[in-house]
Amino acid sequence: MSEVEDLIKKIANQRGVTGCMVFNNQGIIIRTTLEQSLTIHYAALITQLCNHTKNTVKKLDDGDDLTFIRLRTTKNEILVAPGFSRIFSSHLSSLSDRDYILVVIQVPVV
Amino acid sequence: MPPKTTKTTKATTQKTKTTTLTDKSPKKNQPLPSASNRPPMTSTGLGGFGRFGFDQQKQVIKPANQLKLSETELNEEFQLMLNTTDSFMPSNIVRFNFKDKQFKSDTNITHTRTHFSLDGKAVYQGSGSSQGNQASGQQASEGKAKLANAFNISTVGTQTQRLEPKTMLVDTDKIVFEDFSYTVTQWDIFDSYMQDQERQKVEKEKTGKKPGIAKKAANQDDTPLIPLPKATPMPANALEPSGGGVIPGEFPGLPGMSGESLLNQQSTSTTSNVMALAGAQQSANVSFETDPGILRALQVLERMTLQNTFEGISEDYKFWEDPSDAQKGDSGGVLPLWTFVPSKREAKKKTTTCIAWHPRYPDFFAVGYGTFEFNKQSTGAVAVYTLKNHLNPEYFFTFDSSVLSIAWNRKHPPYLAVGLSNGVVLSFDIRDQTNTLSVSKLDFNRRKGDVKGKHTDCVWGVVWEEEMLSSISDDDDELMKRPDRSEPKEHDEKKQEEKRHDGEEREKPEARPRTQAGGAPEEEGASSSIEGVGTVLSVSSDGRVTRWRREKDRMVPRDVMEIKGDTDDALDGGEDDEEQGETDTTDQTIIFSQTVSGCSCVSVHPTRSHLALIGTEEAIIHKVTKSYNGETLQKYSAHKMPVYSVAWNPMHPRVFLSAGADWSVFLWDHTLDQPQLEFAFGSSIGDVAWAPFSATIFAMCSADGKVYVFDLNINRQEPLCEVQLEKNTRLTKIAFSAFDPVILVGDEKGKVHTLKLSPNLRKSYAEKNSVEEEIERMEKVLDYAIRCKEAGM
Repeated sequence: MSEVEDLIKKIANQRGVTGCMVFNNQGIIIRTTLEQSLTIHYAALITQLCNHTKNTVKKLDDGDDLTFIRLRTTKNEILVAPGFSRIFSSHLSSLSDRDYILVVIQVPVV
Repeated sequence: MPPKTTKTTKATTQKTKTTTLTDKSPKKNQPLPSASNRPPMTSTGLGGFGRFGFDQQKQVIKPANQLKLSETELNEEFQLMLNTTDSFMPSNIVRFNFKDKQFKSDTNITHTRTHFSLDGKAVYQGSGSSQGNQASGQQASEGKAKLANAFNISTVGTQTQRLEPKTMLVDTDKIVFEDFSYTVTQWDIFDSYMQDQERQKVEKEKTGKKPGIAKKAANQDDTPLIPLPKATPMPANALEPSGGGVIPGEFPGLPGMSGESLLNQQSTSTTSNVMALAGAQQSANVSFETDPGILRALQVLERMTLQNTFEGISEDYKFWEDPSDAQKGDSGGVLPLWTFVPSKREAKKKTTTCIAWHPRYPDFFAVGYGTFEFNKQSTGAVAVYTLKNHLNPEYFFTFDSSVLSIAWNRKHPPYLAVGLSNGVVLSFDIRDQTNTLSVSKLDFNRRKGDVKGKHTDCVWGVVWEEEMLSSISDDDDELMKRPDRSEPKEHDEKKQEEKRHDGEEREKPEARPRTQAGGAPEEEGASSSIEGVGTVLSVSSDGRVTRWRREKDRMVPRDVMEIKGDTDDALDGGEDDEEQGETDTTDQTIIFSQTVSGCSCVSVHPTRSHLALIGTEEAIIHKVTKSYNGETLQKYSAHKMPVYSVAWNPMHPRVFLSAGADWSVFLWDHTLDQPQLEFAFGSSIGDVAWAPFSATIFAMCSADGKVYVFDLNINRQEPLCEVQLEKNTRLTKIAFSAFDPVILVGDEKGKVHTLKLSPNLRKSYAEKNSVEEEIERMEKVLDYAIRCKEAGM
């Protein structure tokens, strides 16, 4: 259990990483290293983005599924890992209640 | 006593007055205003009492009902007294005294009634205040210093400032009111109660461990009572930059959603859904932590962030080709990539004692930490890294004593064999970090003393063995002998090979050292392979070569052979020496010949797994066969100091390299007992390794911090690349990746450097020559060597 916490801390302390957040698929914030209002903002927006993207991918090809979203913007890079626990298991189920969304915001050092 | 009145009867006064009046002689012309003398009644009414005045000639008017008294009664004298007591005041006033808590009579009864009072402003002239009020000039003029009264008593009343109360109105934000109604049944109550119980149970488990998180969960448990529909409606507010304070799924009344519509939506859901939300928050926290997928996800995310940060290195690793190689001619360079510095306390300041790439995964490798100094024995550690994450190892294990050798199992990827400096050999599955198997093994070795038969000295080399014997035996193998190129026995050889196959397989059950435990039971006489993890062969400074069998919670050793040394020079085919322990008959040499040689390195032939090379501290290299009881087939003696590393050529079956503390590296042909090529350096060589993609490329690292790369195809005497990696640091181990043109170099400070070979150094890699071509090249090298020897170089 504490490994998870350690890992989150490690990621958040990485060079260039602004913050690390975890929501569940309903947008409830589980862990965050940013301040609350900003996290709420991200939660609402990114959950929507994940759902939308996931639907897009699924509709184009039913057997396909979203694994990562990597958003490079002018100011930073947003890494989103949605529904992660399903990726490594043999069955690819659709969004279930146990899915989590991991978000890391990083300013890539170039 | 009734107070006496001041009233007097009129009659008596009148009477007395009249008597006095008659005594005096009235004067006519002087109307004196006296009581007795009345001025004459004039028509103008002058004289004060004029109107009511009494005439001299009084006329006594008697009312009709006046009391008629006799003469004597009239002359009776009544005495009247005037006193100051108030007759109306009671004289027995009793009051309750709160101090004494009893009724007490109030004696101080004032009989004074004040009808009118007026405080004047007149001040007594003699009083102090009047003096003060007068001009002080008077005093000054008088020249007397009169002391003024400190207390200015004045009767002027002062008025304190009265603060006027003022009413103020404050406006607050409009409080939004919502109408809500719900029907609660007993089922709802029960459901929510059960949810609450569960939640409390979970919270109890969590408090003490992580109070912070419990608090946070508690905060987020203040969920609204209104149950929400399961599908998350994304509120429109969330998209506005100002309205970012919306938690989807948690907000009850959103402006724009009437209470009615909410109720409609929740018609199917019950209160348990509400509590489910609260419970979901709680359980989300808990399950989040225990979900195994999450750990994996976070690891990948960590790698992603690292990749972003160290983008340059990742790209170099994959794509960098040194363009200056074209101008350099033959020589090349190495590009430093990542540097792996152990972050864990147990591995800091330790020497990297061994490096092993994983045979199957291109980015995985294990590093062993310990110390080579024998006076300072310390704990050791093994870290398993991936190239994708150079800051933190994927796995990390600590041991009691320094780790000196590690080896990956080829067939079973997660198994690692570790040799320690206290003679213990371990093998475990790296995924079982807290598994009882490895822990109990460590504990066993630590607590119950040592396994019987374990090494009594440092374990310098461990190799995994598989069950299968080599399928090609010596006699059939053409290339194992120096080809005379005059024996085309191909057909016959194949038949003989098959026969040998069967013969060997039948012999297998008899080969006791080959038993496998901890897996499927051995099938008698079967030719199919037995699926065990494998056995570990270890060599150590105590001269023994031991095979360790994996059992449930420990490794069981069985000696394969002992490396005996003797003082004489190595004899060709001196197989009998070890078993009898006697060579020459002189008494002195009997003692010497029974000594064992400590082994310092081992290398198993890549294709003929029964052959192994063992380098010893006596500077002799033994070629041994592991099968059966083990024998030394041949000894090679050319080094002058302990041999630190031996390595078979991965492609050419006859060639091997050896490197020693005597600053030299020799290239051998195993059929000849003299080295073919010699390379001399400026300091002792820690390790030498062949490149897996070529038969002619190899690299070595030395104690003065240099890395050399040779390609015998191009230059047979000089290294193509000589790089000073570190100053004042001994480089201990070097390892080529089997998949990429990357080498790992470990140094004695615990760092592991990743270097990428420049194009000149890996021409074979780029060209992708076949094995035969490589072998051909090596043959040429060997020929060249022989020619050199004949020429007397």
